[in-house]
Amino acid sequence: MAAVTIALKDLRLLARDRVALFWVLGFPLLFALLFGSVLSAAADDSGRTFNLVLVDDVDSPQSRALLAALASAPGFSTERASRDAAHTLVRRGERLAFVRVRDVSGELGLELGVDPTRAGESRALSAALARVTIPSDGAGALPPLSIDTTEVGRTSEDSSFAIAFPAALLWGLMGSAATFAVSWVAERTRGTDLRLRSAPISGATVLAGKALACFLACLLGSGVLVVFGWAALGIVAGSWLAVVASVVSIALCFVGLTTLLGMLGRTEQAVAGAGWATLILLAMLGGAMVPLAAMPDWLRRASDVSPVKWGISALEGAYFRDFSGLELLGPCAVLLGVGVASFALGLELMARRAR
Amino acid sequence: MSNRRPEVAAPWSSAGLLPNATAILRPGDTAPVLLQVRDVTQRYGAARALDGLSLAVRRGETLGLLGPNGAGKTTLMHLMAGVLAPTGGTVLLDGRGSPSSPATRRRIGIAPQDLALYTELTAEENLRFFARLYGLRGRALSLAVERALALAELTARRHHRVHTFSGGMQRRLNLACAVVHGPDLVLLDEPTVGVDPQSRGHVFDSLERLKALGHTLVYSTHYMEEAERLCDRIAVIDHGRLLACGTLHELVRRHGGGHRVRARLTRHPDDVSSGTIVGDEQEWVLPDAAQATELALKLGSSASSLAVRPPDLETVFFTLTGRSLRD
Repeated sequence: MAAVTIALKDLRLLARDRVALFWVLGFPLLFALLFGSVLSAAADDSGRTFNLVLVDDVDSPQSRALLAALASAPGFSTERASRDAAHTLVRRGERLAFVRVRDVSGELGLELGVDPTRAGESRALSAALARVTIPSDGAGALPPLSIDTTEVGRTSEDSSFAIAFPAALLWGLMGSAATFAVSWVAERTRGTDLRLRSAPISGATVLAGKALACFLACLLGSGVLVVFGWAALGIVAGSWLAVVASVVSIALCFVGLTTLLGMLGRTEQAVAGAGWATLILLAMLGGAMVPLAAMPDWLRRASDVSPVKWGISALEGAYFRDFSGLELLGPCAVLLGVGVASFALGLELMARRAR
Repeated sequence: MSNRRPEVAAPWSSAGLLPNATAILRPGDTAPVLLQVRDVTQRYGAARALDGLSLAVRRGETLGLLGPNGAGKTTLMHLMAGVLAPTGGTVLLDGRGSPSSPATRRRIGIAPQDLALYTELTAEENLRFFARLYGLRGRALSLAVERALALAELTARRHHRVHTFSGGMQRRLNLACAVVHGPDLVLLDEPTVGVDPQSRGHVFDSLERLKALGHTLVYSTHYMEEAERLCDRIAVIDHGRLLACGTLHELVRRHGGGHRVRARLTRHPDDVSSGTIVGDEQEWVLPDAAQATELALKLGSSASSLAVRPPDLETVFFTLTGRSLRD
């Protein structure tokens, strides 16, 4: 009977803690839906669509027929572009691959330029291309084709770890940030926030001090990872300056998010749980756990709301997608925007709580 | 980093124990008012934690805030510290500075009721951190930390982490952190709560040293003996209102309700009128000690038990509120 009494009390407490209630009931539902969607999309090959850019360097009746066959084949979503534009779209990770029809010693040949981060899809794409270009009855109008595959933006010196490294770096940054989310609420639970608030400094200064510690920890952690990646794994960035810009943007974004999370929870346990759960959710949605390519279209579109997606995009751009400054600006701007907005919201919550 | 805060002078005199910011003043009407609380109201939704409360604290005095749990003492402390802004009324330091302004907060120190320490840091690291928040740097900082460690009798344990300290040591460090920057006004929110009697004695020694140094103290407690021992004046608070304020003598004289003589009689002396029946005893309330002593002498040979209780804070509180302080 006493156990029931205790259980009822705990459930009543849970019902009155809306944040905890979300993590107990809402979050698992969200997680199940997300994972369910991803796994069902991964299991259902029939629904897979390859986003391709078609390039015709030959412009003959045969090459046009070949590309028309590709465009009308089920499972392909195609668009036409120049060679350079196609290369750029794949390099940025906006398309899976380009298919270029070219002249190889008087015969038609195909060059398949694939996104190196989507190796599994690329293999499936090669098989699908073979099915289209070699009709099953063997009596098609198309001659046998040679298909050469290249990885766009990746050099032969790149370590095999290089492709996964941006996501690994992002996990490291999330780890640093999640740890610091707890430190916000720890000030409250141990009572030291009263001393901080009674000191001759503003609330914004307190918040800025905490944010700076989180930011520096993120920088330090990612610095160690980057040096380790370079020294032990041979991972060399396309642009080290771009890596620094990306890491700083991601760190600032997570500083803002952890500020907000720290202000939302009332206990260290709640914030620790909520912090990790939020980051895992964002990581999953952003492609750090399951590749975006494995997601259904609607979920891939929804991933735009996750700063993790933009973080990976910036880091991939810096490491092997050869992003220009302008191309890097997009994801970095999103990350900074999310960071600033979250920090401002956290500041407002802190002020409201103080009132 | 070009916008560095200028060094702040050492809050303690390097020559001796006297803080240079405060003169030693015993309670007296001539001392200037340091803190003025005027008609302060604090609401939390529909509930009123403070209800039109006014009081003044003179420079150098120790004012006790006496009241039961939930009386509004901590809320009042937070208003005085500038942590809360009052819903109504004003709190002023030296007649002009609101504690909500950083310049005024620099002159105030607070020892919260709950320990407010970084337990993974050492005693010295805690003190250095809090002193730095108040702008202390360099030699002034080192000197202030030394004095605070000495006050808390923690010099020998300065490099030990706080989580290794006993409850009493943590309480003393909590107190030291409140005064490390040499504030004019020190707010002590039940600084002995939850510690064993021996540790309580140590904490109290630190408080008396602090008082001897001439700090102006506001001391909230629900222990009458502490208020009686330490405070120059006592403000009795209940339900967010100030019920009475004065020296212990004044309060007892005005609200003490007389000397109580209680006896269990075996026979009633002829020359004594009947008292009020309280269980199996009788009680008489007399206006002064002489009359109470005279009655006790008359009852002595006829009583199996006899007690004379002079008016004290307990009876003052009972008279003012109709209930015991520990209710």
